[in-house]
Amino acid sequence: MSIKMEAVTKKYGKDYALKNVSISFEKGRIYGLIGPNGSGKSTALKLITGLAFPDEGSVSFNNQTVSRKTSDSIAYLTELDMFYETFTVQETIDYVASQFTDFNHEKATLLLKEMKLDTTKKVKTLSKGNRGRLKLVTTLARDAEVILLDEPFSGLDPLVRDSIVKSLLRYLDFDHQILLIATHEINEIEPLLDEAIAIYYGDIIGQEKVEELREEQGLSVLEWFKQLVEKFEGENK
Amino acid sequence: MSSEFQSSQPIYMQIVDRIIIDILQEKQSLGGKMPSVREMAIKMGVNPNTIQRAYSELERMDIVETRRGQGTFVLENDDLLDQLRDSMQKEFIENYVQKMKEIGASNQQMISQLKRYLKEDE
Amino acid sequence: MNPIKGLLKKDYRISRFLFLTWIGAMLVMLSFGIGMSAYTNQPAGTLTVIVLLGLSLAVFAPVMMLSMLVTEGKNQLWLYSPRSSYSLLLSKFAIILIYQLITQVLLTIYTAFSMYWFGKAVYEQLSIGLFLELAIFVNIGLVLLGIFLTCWITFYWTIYHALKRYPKIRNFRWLVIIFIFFGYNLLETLVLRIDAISTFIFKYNLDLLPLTSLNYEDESWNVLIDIVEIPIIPFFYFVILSLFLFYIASKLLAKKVEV
Repeated sequence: MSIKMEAVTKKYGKDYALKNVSISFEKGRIYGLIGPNGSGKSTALKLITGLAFPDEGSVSFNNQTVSRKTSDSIAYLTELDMFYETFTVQETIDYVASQFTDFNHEKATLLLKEMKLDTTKKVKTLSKGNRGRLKLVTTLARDAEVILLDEPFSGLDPLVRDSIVKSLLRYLDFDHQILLIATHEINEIEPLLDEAIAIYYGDIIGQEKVEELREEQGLSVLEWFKQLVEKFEGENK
Repeated sequence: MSSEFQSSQPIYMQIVDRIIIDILQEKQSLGGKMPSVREMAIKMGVNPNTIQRAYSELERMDIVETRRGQGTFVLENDDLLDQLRDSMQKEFIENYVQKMKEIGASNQQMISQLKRYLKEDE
Repeated sequence: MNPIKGLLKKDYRISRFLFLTWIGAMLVMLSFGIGMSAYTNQPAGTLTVIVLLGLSLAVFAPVMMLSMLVTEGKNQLWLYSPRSSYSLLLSKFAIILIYQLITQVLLTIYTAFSMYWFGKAVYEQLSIGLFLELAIFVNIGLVLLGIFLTCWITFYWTIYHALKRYPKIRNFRWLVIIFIFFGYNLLETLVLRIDAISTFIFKYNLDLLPLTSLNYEDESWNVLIDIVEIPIIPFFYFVILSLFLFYIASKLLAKKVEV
């Protein structure tokens, strides 16, 4: 199982969201797509889910071009609010469960309990933290081959982050899934990653295995990322 | 995150150190079973592959052994505790000495500062 | 819950409030009509209400669709579903159709009731059978009109959102919509001005039903019976046009509208 982006360019008008990007992801690994806000991370995730389409190049999942149908195998957590405001927590879960055949109700029940969500509450009355948790419940409860998380920690306090990381680790099927986390909070996710991919305003400027980075270069991902950006800016002045 | 890690050293090595400290503090008993890789990953908030690597390293150091189908166990080696304590102490002293040298302290100063510090501590 | 049921339930939930508001407003108007008629002892009250509601039913379906699409358009995450874009849209059509039928049944019963109450004379001229035929005819007409206009609205909405990708015209997207609207209407008018075409188009007619119109004069009802002719070519043209608009809207939704 793999995801491949080949020479993908995506523009919004004159602005490049992604410039001739080629990357691939293999199962059994946790990837971090790291970069500042607006650097193209979200676009990359949407392209993989089939929610947006490349202008040039191709995105494929298991050697098939990605389309809307691909969301069957890909659980995607958006950075946006992904709910209907008037729904209750339970209705939200029921809707997601109805659309995705890989939805695991047992997992959902456990996750709900862990995240301490009240299923009778309306989405619009939930706090930001609880909305974030609900998003995670609907995403992680799926036994999908690929899990894409776009800024899963944004706006959440450290305690919530902690419980989210724990749930992630608890429910991930490590041998059979690809987990890709896009975030600008590099330090927070570093210990979770096998590989880090640095993205900077549409360009992939580096890709490294996290432990090798520390062992061979003595750098944390954040330090590495800063070096890359300096080098990149220097070359592109 | 559950644990903070220093930036320069591989995370798996830092986990190895933490487990050794746990053993020294008897939080992890000799001959006792270690948490599974996943449990440990959840506890520390760390990639399971990293934990796996830490366990392998511990195995290589003859601190733990993996029994097929049962899990990972700390070896019931009587000398182990002493050995570990010894090597840990050495490591810390090395660190101390190196740092002191970096700021130009002499061997004499290192000893006297340490003595003074210990007295204050009492 | 199967996926189709899930979609239907979701579409019902996001439109329920507006529908209930509409039903509430309708009930107020209906009672007002009865009140007026009872007070003046003339059918004018109910008749006005029936005509007004009948007219508003022509735009009920497209307005409902637009409101649902606006809700979805806020984050476009309804597109995060492996269902085909046809089923995503058809589910909305189905819910709207149910709403429309409920409304129409209510209005039909109300009409029958008010005619019975305030215009008994009508029934002397008009058999129940004929009234039913007439009611069915008008109701089918309203449903078809609703579907037709809803296809247009869906088409415009998907065009509008498909253009979001192009920042140059992003702020002028509504101009494109207006251009299409007037362009199409102009074209239709011009084509119909050509005598040969216009004659051809209206050449074949289907005598469907005696058209009965109700007149109220000198405090009594009169029923005027006429033959209604359905021009066949325009009818099929509108059917095909609706299907075409729906098809284009679905394609745009699947390939061009992005989250």
